[in-house]
Amino acid sequence: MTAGLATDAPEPPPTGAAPEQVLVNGRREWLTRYIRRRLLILIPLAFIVTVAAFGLTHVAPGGPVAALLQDQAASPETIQAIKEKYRLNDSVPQQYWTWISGVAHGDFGRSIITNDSVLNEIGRRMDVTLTLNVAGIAIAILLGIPLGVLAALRRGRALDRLLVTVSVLFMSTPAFALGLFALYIFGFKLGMFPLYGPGSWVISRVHHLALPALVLGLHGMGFEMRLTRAAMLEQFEQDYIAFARARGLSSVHVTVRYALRNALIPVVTAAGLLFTGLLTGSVLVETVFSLPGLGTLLVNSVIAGDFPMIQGLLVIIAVWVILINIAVDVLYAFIDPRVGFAKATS
Amino acid sequence: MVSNTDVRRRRDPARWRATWTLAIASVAALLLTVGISTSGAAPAKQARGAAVGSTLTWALQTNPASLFDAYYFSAEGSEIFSLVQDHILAPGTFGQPTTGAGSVVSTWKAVTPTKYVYTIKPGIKFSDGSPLTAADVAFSMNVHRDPKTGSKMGDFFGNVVSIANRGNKVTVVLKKADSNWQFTPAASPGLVYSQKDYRAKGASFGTPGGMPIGTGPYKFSEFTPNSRVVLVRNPYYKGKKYPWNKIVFPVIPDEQARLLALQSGQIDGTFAVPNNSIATWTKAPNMKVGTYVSGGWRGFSIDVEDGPFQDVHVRRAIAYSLNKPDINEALTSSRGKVLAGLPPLIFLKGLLPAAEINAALKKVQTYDYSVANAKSELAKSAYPKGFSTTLNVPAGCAACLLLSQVLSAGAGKIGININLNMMPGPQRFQVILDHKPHLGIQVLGQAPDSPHPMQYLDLLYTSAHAQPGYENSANYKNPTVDKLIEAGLATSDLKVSARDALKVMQIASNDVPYIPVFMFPGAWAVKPGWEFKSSLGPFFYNQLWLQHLVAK
Repeated sequence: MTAGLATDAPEPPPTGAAPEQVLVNGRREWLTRYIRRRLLILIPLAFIVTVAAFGLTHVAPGGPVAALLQDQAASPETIQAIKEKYRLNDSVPQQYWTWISGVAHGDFGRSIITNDSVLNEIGRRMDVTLTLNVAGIAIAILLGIPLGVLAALRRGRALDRLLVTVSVLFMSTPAFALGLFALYIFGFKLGMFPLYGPGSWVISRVHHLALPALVLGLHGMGFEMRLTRAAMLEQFEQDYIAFARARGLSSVHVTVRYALRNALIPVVTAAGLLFTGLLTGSVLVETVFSLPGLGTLLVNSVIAGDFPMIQGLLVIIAVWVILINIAVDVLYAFIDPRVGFAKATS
Repeated sequence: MVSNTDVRRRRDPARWRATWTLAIASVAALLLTVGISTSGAAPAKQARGAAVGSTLTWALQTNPASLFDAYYFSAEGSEIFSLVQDHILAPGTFGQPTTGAGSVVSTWKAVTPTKYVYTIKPGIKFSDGSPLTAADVAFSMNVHRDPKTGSKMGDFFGNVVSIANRGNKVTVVLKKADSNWQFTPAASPGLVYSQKDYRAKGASFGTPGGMPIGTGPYKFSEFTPNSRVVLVRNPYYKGKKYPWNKIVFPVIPDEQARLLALQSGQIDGTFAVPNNSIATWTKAPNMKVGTYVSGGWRGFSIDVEDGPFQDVHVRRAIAYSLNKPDINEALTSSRGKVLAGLPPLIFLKGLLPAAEINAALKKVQTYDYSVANAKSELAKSAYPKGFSTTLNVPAGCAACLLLSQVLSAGAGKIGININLNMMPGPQRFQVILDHKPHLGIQVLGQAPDSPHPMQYLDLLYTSAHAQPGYENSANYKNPTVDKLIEAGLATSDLKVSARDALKVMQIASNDVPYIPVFMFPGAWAVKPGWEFKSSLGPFFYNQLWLQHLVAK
């Protein structure tokens, strides 16, 4: 065993503790250390991300001056004034130092397009994106997992074929096409939903975001459903399932407590991927439904060459992806005790 | 022994119970989702636009980046700003400066060709109740001149020596005579801000946390970037009151969503009708569409100092290979106007008699579509067998792409292979700003800043503008043209300017540094029963455009 792993070993259990309690304590301690260690790794990772984000935006052709002028002619004096305002005459390392010093103090700079602070711009869009994504993921999971289990239970039957067809349909239809279709039917023809905007107060926001969340959710549902179905079928082939049935356990018990729980690892991984992907991947849905989200902000910033905004978004999205991965890893340990147990006792 | 497969296939009651439990759970989840989704959903009729007298909902296509025009200079921005900020002078239908509604000036005069004096109207108040002063007016122009502002409109003031206020007067002194200046206070750089408000809001001026105040009929009430801008009445406004207490400008970037929103009555109107969709919008039920003369043009520049393009026969061959009427049909449903040259004739028609213009146009070389003529011109050049080149196309500009594709197809017929290179818009514009690394052919689209006959010509043809930072992307240098443009700008008689502009058109038509293709139209769409009572002009967005809107 390596020295590094030796330091991860749990403290010796108190004398007289029951063996089960020792395991629980060991697992909890491992989890705490694991989360702490992953969070510490965030610091060098975030630093690498800042260097990459800054470097990439400076290497990319097309300068911030053109982005700011947006097809307007400018005298050399105006161009010089813009360069001075955004310190573009400094060397690249100096510019990075100025920027990273600000980031360390929570100042990501000002957008060259809106002149507002980057954090203000991101903060304003965060709630729309988070609401949309949390609702979308919830729909994907709430529908995808039960329907995946159902399809597995009815493998080869008409219901299974129907569900697989539906899942393929939702997976293969681009989200924006699904969005336009939903907008036309539910927004225009039936008048059930507003056709644009995020709404301004709680009920209004729920009303405005329901349709885009459903579109995102149904798109993700196909993915979740197929994964769940495949994982469940694999579990149904295992001997322990046959043994559990032979013990006379109810089918619901065997399906939910035994098979589904063991099938959840790939499903949770997929949910994590959905969470990281939807954060920026929802841009087309945001565009169709005219929603001011982070995806639209990132794409618009890239198109406009708004480099302080791109840098800020890249850093925040990278940290977000890392945090989601940590959360998924921790969830593994909760779903499958063997994950934590193996580490705790190693 | 019973295999797992046998277990799966056996239809025992417990298994059926599990199936049905899951089925019911799935349906419940779906119903729950739909239930949440539809809670509070209003029927389509209730979602329709509010009646006249309450709220006007007018859709935008692009997000207003800022409420301060120094950072957001666009027609859509001006549509909003003109209802909040008065201009120094109010533009007439064709941009001519007036002192009517929308202007804070009672009289103005060019004391000398380089000195303009403006007298401020008394009794005007900002929406916070503070009085408008001459200092505010001077500040509103000087703020764009200040390098610290980094204003996109700094270039409008490049010829200005000083802008000062004394009493109720503002005096502008120019470096050299420039009759184009008279239009500047009636254009976007003429919006009037409060100096005190600007200083109080500091860096946040124009952001959601620092919405500017103005002296116009409305004031900003809400600004949610990428979502909407909301205006409410300015209680201190003494001019004509419009029927709406509140105006909402929602941002709807997707064309289909905008169209559906108008048809369903969720918006009342929009100016964001894409040129190439005017025919589609016109055929759509439950709405009315109209067009107006925009004065903007689309076409190409050809770098006369770059490789094969130095040869005038090559440039003429390309001009012949372009089927302008077909492009106009495809991109504007023939609602645009095919151009023989610049400037578009609408900027001359009010100044010169039609007979005089027509006589001058006879000396303008036109290049009507002809593959035979194109081949004949190319045969006279140093590249009779053709050559290959690259055309940079700004991504996100559908009209630019279509225009470039047609050029590429036409030139391909005579052996000139034009490869299209898609580039992000700012990156492409940087090539023009830098005048390097390779200008070659550039696809252009421009809207007018003023109605002066020389405005486009100064921007595009002046030799001094064939350098980094300027837009003479043809690198065109002709001393005769320079003199005509200089004289046309210096004179206070716009008829003389118009005649000089026609002479430039004649010279340029032989040299072909630019290929103007068509003047694109502007379009509006409103709900049934509504309309614009008079034709909107090229600078309507700088006017109190609500005065033209008839709502029933």
